[in-house]
Amino acid sequence: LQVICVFFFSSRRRHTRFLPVSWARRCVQETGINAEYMGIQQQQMTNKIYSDVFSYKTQKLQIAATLAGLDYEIVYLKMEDFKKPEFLAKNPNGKIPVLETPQGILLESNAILRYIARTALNTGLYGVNSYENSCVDQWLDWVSNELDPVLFSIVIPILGYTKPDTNAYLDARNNYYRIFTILENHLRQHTYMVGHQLTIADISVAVILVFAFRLCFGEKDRQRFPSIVRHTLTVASQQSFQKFCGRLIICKKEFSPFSELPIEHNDKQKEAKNPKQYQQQQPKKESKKEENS
Amino acid sequence: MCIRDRLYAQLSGIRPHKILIAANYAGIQVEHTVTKVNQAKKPEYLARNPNGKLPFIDTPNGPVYESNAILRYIARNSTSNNLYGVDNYENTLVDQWLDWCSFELEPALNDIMYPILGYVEYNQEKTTKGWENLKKALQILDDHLKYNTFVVGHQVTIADIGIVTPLFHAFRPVSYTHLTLPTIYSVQISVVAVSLKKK
Repeated sequence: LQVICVFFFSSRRRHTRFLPVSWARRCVQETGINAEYMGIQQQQMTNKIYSDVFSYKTQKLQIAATLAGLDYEIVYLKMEDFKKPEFLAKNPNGKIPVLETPQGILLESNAILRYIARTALNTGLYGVNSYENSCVDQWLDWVSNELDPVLFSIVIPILGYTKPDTNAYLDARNNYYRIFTILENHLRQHTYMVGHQLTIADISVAVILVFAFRLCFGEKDRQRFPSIVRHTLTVASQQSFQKFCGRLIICKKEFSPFSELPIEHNDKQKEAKNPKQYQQQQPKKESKKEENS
Repeated sequence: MCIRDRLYAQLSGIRPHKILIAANYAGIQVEHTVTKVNQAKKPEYLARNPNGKLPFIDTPNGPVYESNAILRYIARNSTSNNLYGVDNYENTLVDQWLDWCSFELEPALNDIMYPILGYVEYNQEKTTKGWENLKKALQILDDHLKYNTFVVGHQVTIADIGIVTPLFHAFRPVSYTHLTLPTIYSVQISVVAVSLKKK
């Protein structure tokens, strides 16, 4: 100890060793201009999400951002704004959601989800270790590549956006069972999709299954896939989920697609309950459509 | 040194090539077990990828499927390169371009390529729409590459590998000379040349 002390005290740099405060002050003085610049930058430091009024992809981002504690502002755009050059300068693909960070612009909802999760790694939103990160990636890709198209091939005919086609609908239904059994088997052995905490994979699955629960996941299916029900209910009971997606609406019996022409989005539930009444109202609605467009 | 990761994939194709090129860049040795697509539904393989699809990889911690997830796994475990970008923002840009590739570029390419390869019947409407979508997508990529040497950052990342491999496979049988996109060709050639050298 004595030898080390002598060596330490005998060096020439005494003026810098014991005065950390003056060193810090000198740094601030030297970088005075930088400090002003940083001040300006801090004022513009909010993250902005550009989105449509209702989009499940933006809901995903909002839930993840609240869980991660990331501040953001949301800017709602109308359908016409997507083709304007100001928006195309941000996203040349003309799609939402778009996240504008102080560093630049980010597209693709799954990429933005990962960005949000990485800003708060300690919350475990992206998994706890490198292998869990890969599993979260895997499930996020699976949702976009497998679950999303299959589920929407059933939901879209029910909502009446496409021409009714019974064969296509039956094919879609078979695919839908196959995908849901995969998810069910996984959730039977795991409480959450990845690891032992809520991750962005759980959020993305639950936000899409809201459509299923509302429209095509009837009581029989729910008895057949109990783990999916359990998982979705646990995620849907989170405060942040309810703030952006609302209460989970569960249908008693699944809706079936219509054998008539496509209808407006607003009337989908009225149509489902009272098809005869809607048929009578249809000529009036068509004239309203013409007025609106 | 024992090889710790085992990749189960086809002999050749866009997805196995993506992963092998990335592993080459990363300096990770991956053992490629050639499996045929119809063998992927065997129960031992279904235990690892319940979707019954290829490729999937067996790592010391467990299996991972979905080719882009495997790419990210490789990028994370590479010690020498910044295959995934330098910071969180660049990581997200890499993710963004990989997702863009699978949702904007690859569907358009598939609409054009699948009838040629014989996987799907020829449908004129789909093919013409495919050409339109491909033109839009490649225009976006071209505009981006005018101001950036690489897709993300200042070095090769898995985003470059993920975008160049399907284009490389698609450019061989079909001529795209009527689409004037000079920037893409130069980047593509440079990336592919580097990857082939490394092999």
